[in-house]
Amino acid sequence: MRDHKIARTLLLLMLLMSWLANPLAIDAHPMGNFSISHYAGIHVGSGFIELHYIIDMAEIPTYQEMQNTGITAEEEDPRLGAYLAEKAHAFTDRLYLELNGRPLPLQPTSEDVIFPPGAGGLPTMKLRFVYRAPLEDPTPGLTYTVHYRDDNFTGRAGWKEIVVAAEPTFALVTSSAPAHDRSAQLSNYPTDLLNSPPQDLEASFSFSPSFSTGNNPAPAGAVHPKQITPPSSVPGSMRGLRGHSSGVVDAQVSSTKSTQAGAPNETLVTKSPNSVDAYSLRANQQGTPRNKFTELVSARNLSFWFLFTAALIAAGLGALHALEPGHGKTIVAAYLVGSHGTARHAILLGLIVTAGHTAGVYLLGAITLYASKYIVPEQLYPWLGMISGIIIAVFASYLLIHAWTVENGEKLHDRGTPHSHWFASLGRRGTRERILSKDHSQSLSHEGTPSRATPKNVSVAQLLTLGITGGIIPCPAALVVLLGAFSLHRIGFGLFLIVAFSLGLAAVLIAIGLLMVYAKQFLARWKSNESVTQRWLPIASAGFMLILGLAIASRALLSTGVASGFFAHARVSSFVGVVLLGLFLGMRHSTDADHVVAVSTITAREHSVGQGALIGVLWGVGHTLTIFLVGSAIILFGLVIPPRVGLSMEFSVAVMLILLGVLNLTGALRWLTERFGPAERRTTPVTMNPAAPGNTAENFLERLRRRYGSYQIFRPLVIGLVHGLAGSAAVALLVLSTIRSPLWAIAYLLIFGIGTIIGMMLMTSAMALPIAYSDKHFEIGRYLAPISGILSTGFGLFLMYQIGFVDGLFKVNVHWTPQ
Amino acid sequence: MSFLFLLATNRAQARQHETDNQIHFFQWKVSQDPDDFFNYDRLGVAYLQKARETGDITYYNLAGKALEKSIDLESTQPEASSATKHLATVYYAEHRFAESLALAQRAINLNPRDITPYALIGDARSEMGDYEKAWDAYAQLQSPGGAQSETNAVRYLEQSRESAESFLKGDTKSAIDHMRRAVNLSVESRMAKESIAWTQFTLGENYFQSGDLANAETAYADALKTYPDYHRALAGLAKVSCAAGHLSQAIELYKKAINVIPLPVYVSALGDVYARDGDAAEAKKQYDVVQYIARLNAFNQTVYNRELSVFYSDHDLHLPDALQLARKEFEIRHDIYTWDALAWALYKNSQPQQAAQAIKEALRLETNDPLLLFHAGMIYKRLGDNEKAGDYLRRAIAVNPKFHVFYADLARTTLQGPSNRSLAVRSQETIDARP
Repeated sequence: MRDHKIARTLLLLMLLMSWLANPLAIDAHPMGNFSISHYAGIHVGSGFIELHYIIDMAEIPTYQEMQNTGITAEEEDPRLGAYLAEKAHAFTDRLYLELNGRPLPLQPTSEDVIFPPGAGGLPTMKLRFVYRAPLEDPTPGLTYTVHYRDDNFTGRAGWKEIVVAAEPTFALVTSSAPAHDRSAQLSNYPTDLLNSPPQDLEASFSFSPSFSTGNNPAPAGAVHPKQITPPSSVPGSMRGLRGHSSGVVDAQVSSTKSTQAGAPNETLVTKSPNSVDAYSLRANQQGTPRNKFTELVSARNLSFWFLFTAALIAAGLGALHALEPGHGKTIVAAYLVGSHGTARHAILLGLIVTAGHTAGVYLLGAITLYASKYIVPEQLYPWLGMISGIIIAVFASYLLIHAWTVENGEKLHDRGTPHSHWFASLGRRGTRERILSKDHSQSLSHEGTPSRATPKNVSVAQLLTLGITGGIIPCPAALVVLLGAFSLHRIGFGLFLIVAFSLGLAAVLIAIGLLMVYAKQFLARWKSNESVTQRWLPIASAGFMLILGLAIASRALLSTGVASGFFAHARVSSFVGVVLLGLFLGMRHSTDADHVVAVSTITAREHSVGQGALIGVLWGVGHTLTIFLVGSAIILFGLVIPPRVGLSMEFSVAVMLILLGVLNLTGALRWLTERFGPAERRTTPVTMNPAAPGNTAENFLERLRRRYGSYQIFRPLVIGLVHGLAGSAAVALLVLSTIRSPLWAIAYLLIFGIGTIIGMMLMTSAMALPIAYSDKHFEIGRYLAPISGILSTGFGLFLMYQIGFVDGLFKVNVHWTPQ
Repeated sequence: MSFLFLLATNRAQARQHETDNQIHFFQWKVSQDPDDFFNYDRLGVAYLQKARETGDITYYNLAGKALEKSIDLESTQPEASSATKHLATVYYAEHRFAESLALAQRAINLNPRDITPYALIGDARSEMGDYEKAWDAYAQLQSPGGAQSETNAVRYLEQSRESAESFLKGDTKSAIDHMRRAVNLSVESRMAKESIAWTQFTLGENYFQSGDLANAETAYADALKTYPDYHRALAGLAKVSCAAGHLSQAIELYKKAINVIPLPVYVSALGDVYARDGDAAEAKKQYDVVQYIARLNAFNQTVYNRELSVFYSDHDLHLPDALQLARKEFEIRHDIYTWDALAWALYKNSQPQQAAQAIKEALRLETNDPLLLFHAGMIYKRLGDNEKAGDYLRRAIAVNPKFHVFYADLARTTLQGPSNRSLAVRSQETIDARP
């Protein structure tokens, strides 16, 4: 994943800033620095066969050539003329072109050379020669066979490519070489898994002059360079056989290939025969970005406009980069949601993250440049990640405990009643106490109580901790930009670019932070249930941060390889992956239609987000319970659920849906609610039991029951139970197919269940939000219940039909596939 | 007409390389069925073979990609052990020894019935200096069921690794026996040509180390016959020619080897032969090429650190760099030859005490490698321990009187009497020293 991220970022860099990119792994010759690559473009024209022959030498052979012949890597070197002439003839000694078995003499007609820079600026050399062989008066209608072979530099690694083309007056009947090259005359070496460098040093083709000129239509398709045809020689050579048998096989297969290559009469588009320009020498594309950058940056004046544009682009990249996962965006968001942050805090936090990021990049750049012998930067990344992950986790735990133990605190905050937290007695006095007292002295209500100027809930220390740890992990993209500029001795420019990059990063982070702050303030504006904003949101956000911090730390730990001696590496990483997958699948599972519909019948009647969340949690608990029980039975005891039973379970869900719907519609629900409702409804928050804060003597369940009523608790629980019944088989089988060990499989069930709880809780809260909000202003509440009732009944009926008749519960043939 | 054409293409195809055919075939298979892990595995093997033949690291990268794709598609069933062990081979070739080890272990865990990864485990452990564990791993290749139940592949690995182990432990004769058997097995099991040639070449190396130049030449020639233009075989023949005194032949052979792959060790050896032949200018040219390669090495982080360190030490060039390169190599490799490179660099950098400690490590398996013994002799000489020095130098000459183009003579002259000359190998000095 990390490599993918790096690759993507680099690609982005190159696209946007193709003239600024300069990877640290300085681009050696793409084919390896001792390679010699060949290109041969054979062209059949009227009266001649032309051979465009290009040799691309990498750094080492170039140096050896220069040593042996005394030339220098300057295109104006006067000795080059003689050198090229001599080379042109030398190469022909080992080039063979035969027409119908008769060797053709190759006459050099032009020579050319360029010296593109390779690794570290050391020269490479690209030679191009054009040869002509006479073609006397070919008789129209006859087929001529040509055979070409290149014996120069045998055995040397490199890209070896041959292409064959003919003028329109000739019909290329067969050809073992394609018509279009992949390398654009050795200026680009695209290599991937299915397109490894060609290794063709021989080719054969046959052509037939046409009777009249210009009669042949332009061809439809030449052999597509990317088309992979079955090879002409079957690897019976796996056994290393050479000789008759493989020869016969070759003959057969190659004849099929040649008929596939093109129907007779198909001609191939030719480049204009006379323009040598069509084959002009170009430096490697892989080298081009660097060249352009060199030109630009080594310009005399770094003009203002250039700096401005460069800065803009760097900033844009930084902004884009911030949108990718990482860089503490989520941490920032989570923190701001959970704390009492203002817009100013958001801005400050964004700036701190950016400063941390910049410092991290500078530091890493310095290490790479000066200390790379002792410290390998790649090894630093995981440690940095682990440290910052741990710090974030610790910080999040602190926030979590803090948020959790505020017992009825929000009310007391209003009043400014002195209180303490259970952990105040622990640890040092001093900073901690001060922070705590600061945290709790700010007024939260909107009653115009003047909030004190100095104490803020969000302390600078917290912001600093969070910002630095969130931003300290430098990203490879920025490092690339910095080191690229360094390698061109533009140190100031590099530093400047990084600052611009970080500003772009900051902008996005601040925007996100502001978004969070305003969203929270919007949320807090309607205080239908303050406990959501005062208690649950901070807890949720702190919990989320904790999970994130742990995830960052554990991922980094794994990549340090420290743990690899301890665990089997693969097992642990897959364990983490499995846990995450389970959570995610669980969350997704809760969004199934029948779950949503059932739960909506309840939330439609509620008016608070907190209650909505609770409903979701209870549903999840019930659902998990059944899944766990039934699933464990399946896993541990191999319990097999016969199709009819499975279908019946799903059928019961349908029945339940109908029941719920009908109850909603008939108002019987209302009676039930009132009958078994909570002891006091509509009690004002103020008269809530002002028991001593921090009193956990009261049972949590008891409190819930009193607050919501036992009916309200059991209903979602039971619904969840029934849903769980229907789904457990599916989940258990899915788990069994991927996890072998029963213990882990059961653990996975639990994890999945937790995922469903979280997912449903989020969903019900989300459902309750608009209802709670709109309920204040409109009288929708009255209509929601019947609407959801209709929905539920309808859906239930549909399910009944589906299960009963389509899946065959009521019929003879039952087919049940656990979904 | 068409028949002639077919014949022509025949020749064209037949000359095309076996490995290239394999690559094309499996590329086609993969394109037909991109979800089949087996084809990616085979494609990776083909790329791996190509990489060995050409020395071009592009193919290691491609092999890695193909094998990773195979593992992506299938990583938990026993069938995944094939791609896993092949990927381990790629990492080994890239000198990522720890990762190679881990993957090889995983391959065995996936499929305990395939014991071939033990060879790789042993190789990786050897490179990391854990020789005891390496011997244990190699021992696993001897299946308890006896010769019948083993496949040829396992038997080949068993013999070739036994040979390596024997040589390192100082029993060169056993090493030769085992390697001869390995050659036969490789031919019988129709391994890839380059692999057979490699085995024959290694046999030649063993013969050379033991001083048997005649058999060494035969083995190298066989390798060349098996795989025309095999650069290692050419270099081996060059070494033998030089030892026999046929310097111009040695020069030609080294040049041919360099034309295929210009490894620093070949270029450096060519320079030494030129120097021995009296052609200082040409010698210098070759040394310049090696230094040029060193510059590229720094950029590309290729795997030449040890060879370059030894080159610098041997020729008294950039001695601080020699030490630094040896230390850098030491970070990833702890085998006896890395200790040896370190010892030689320390010696040349006038730190004979530490050099002695390093050479002790290098000799801890009691390998009968004349170069190691020679280095030890020179180090102890510098420390003033003439007895030990003499002992080592004598042993070096006894094993192979012609073990090096210069050092064999240097060993003899050092034995003969106290020498005030510096012990460096400069082209001019050694020309003077020629009999």
